[in-house]
Amino acid sequence: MSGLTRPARDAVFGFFGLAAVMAAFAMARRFGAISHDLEQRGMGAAVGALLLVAGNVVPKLRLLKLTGAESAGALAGERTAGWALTIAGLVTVGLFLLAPLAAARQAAAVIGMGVVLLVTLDWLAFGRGSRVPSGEPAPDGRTYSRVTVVHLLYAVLYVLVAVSVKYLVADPGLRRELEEWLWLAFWLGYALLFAALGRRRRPRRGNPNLGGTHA
Amino acid sequence: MNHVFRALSDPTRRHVLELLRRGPMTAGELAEAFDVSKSTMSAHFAVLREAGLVASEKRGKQVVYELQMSVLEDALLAFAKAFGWRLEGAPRPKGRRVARAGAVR
Repeated sequence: MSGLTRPARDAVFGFFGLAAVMAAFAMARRFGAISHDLEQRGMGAAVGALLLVAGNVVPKLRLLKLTGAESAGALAGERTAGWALTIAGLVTVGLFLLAPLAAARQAAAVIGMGVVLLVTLDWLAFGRGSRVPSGEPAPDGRTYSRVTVVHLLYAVLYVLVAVSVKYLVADPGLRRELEEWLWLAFWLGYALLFAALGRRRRPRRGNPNLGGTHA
Repeated sequence: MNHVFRALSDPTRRHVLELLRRGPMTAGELAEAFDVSKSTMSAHFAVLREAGLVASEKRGKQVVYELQMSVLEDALLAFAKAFGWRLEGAPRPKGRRVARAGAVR
């Protein structure tokens, strides 16, 4: 944690704090302290808050620099993704606090899938923009923070997709099958992400200062 | 958060942030866009850096600035811009002149 910048540290604390809130709602329901509806509302609002926390920090940390993209387009791409995640988070929190539960679940699921698709397309488009001449990210002391937040963001987006599938698919058999596929896709995606980030951060021969920055 | 409010309270600093939306710029290029002394611009850069709204990187003899604003800070900037939020006196930015890489720190 000591190597993280302040915004990244705030995001990490926010992430684990909200995960603890979700666990508390689940435990309270298990011990009969709260109703099923209240548990669902609490969990839904916490997922929305997770999106808000993650989205807020995306443009600040310049996550696309991990791919070497430094253009104004990449900056715009990060800004779009950050605003999309933040607005989706705010709307999700509002839905679970104010709307009828069934409608909130359906609407939040559609918004969740939509924002995951938007962020993916946005970053595929802008993450391949103009790069630094060497093709390596310019080390600026924030690489470790970026990598940490990318992992958190990946986990948040997985939670969002998993929850959306749960809310949208009514058939229990199909839902279980989709959840198994999603779990497999999560680990495959994680392996690809891990490999991609490792490749980007690997120091080049003859210039040990490039890549692998953990400050 | 006080540093952020202080940084956004000045129109010159807000204009610097708007310029940096186009991409990273050197201190000289940014200073060219304003009719103020280099020391004044340096002070503005220091306030923005302290608030964490920009990051600077030394490349050779030049200092390159780039934007690093969260969504909340971005929203605050839009709010300040829309309502002409101004807590302290500052010179108005002049029209963008031909960019010249300078050595303003």
